[in-house]
Amino acid sequence: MTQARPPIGLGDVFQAIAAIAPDEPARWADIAAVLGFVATHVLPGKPAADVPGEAIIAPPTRPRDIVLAPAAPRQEGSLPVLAPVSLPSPGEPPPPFLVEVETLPHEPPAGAAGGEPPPLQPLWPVATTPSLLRAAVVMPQADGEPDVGALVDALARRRGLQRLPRRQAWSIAHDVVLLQDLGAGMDAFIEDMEPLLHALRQVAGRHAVRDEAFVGRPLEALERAGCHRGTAVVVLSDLGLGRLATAEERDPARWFELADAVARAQARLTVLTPWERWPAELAARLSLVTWDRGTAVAQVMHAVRQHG
Amino acid sequence: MKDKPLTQQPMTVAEVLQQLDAQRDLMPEPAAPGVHERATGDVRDGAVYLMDDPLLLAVKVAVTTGRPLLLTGDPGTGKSSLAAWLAARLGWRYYEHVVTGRTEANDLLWQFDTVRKLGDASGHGELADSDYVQPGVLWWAVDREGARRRGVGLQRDVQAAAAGRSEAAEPQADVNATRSPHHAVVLIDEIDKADPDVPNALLVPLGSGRFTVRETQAVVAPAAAAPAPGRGGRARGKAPGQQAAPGMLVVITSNGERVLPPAFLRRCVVHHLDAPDPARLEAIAAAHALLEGRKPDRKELARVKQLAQQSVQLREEFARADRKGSGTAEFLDAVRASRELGIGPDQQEHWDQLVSLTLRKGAARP
Repeated sequence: MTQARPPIGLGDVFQAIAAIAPDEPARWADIAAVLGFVATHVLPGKPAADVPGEAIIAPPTRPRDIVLAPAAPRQEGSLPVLAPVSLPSPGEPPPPFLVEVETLPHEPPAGAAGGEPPPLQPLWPVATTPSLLRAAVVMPQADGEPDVGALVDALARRRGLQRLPRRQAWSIAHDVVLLQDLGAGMDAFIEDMEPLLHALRQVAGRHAVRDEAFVGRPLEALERAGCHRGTAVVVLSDLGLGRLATAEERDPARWFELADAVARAQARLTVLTPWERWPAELAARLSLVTWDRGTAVAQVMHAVRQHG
Repeated sequence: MKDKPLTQQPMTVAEVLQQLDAQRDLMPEPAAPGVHERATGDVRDGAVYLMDDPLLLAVKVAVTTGRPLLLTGDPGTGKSSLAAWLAARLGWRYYEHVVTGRTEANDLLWQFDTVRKLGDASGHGELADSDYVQPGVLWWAVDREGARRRGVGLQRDVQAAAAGRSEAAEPQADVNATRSPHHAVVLIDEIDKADPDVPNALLVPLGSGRFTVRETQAVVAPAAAAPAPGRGGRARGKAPGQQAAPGMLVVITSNGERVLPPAFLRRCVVHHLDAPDPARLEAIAAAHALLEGRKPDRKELARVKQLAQQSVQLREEFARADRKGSGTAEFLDAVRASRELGIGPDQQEHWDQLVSLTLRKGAARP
């Protein structure tokens, strides 16, 4: 059976060094870095203090170069490889290796020069936000390519076809509604909503996106915005799962009535939430996607198509 | 610029590295009049590329380890044009596939035209499945002759396979006619546009060069005499660099719109290309002028300098607003337009219009 090559390993590093720069140790770290290694091994015989900040990788050592030091006499009860460590008793000063640590110089975070707060880092990275949103607002289309497999199968069985079978195709909805939860549980994310709305308008088109805010009842906001066949409804909400949620916000029924309304309109609902876990009863009815930096397009696609 | 002469023998790794070192600093030879005069910015003819040291090292590491080279960076930083340049400089065949949201992994290996077969079924007798197989770029790179025959002769059960009637047309056939039969460069452009499953589905074909065509059961593998696509000939018993170079160098580009699967990244040599600074843009413009057989006068040099600075300023402005700025191709368009239309910085209104049309793309200030 054919298998994928294993991931890049030290063999690749040594292979590259041997072919490109066998006699130029100064370039070995660069080669290792290109292959994704951050080496910390110090060249044999070279004191660590002499090594510049960059990583250095040691050359492959041939077996005959290895000289084993005579083994230290092993004390009874000690570990075979690690020397026993004696910890100070309470009240005694800690040993020097725990005290003599240099403090790192204070460096203000990037962008914080002049006392300004650092720039807002959106929950979804700028580079991947368009792809994540595209995945969140796709709608199944009826005009996908002919499903040749189904077609041939029907013909082979001499089965009449009233409609040409088509493969499921997805494209960006022509009509998108963004509902923003302004409840207390979303206070920490208020500033993230505007960039997301901006990005959504870039993805779906400025005139295709309508936005409404709500506290408590998302259905009312949806009714204000309007929802039609083919509308992609995106909700930003904590789902009332936080400690600050009111009794009304904790009630899952408000989400069920929203999901029912969207389904009746033959539209589709996706909820972006800062939470990573949610009650099973909500997950069964809603396409839930974590609104956080680690979210991958595959997760959005999975959530959307699961309820698609 | 002329391609490297065709060699009938597989190249060794050492020869490839030597060739890369020899070619990197060569400025393009002036082409015959008319050949490159109409070439616009975003061409992939492999005629011009200015390679810096880190990128050269990344290419060398990819060649010596036989790993795909994944290039990341903003649009216009030279990710896609590298592959064609490498192919031309090394004398290797060149294939490219631009990935879209609808691309499936199979598209790079083969496609099967079921609809045409269904249409043909009504008017013909026995049909050969192989006639409906269209080899993809990776098949062409791994086994050119097998791809040309659409896999006929590669079936597990040759007796059962009906003989094909037609040969497949090789992509870039005119360019590849004079290039090495043993080695190829494959560009897989903008892989981040693909469904997240696509990169993982390519792990085996990229690593081993082997796959099976589902419809015909043809087993595609590197030709017996050719070096393996991922790894060159065995290094055992040979001095470093004397093993055969990989049969296939795969260059993959990503604009970073999607995070690629970790399993895929762990198998690639990854290199990030920074956007060129003004001096580099000027050097690129000079190389293109040389290619076109022109020696820029003082006025043109001043225009190029001004456009290079404005291009970088605009890119930085756009970056502060989290938007993509113009790349090298747009800069070259601006240089060409300013030269052809005779517009200089002293003609303020026209100059601003030209910058808006080519570099700012009509967008309001970010």
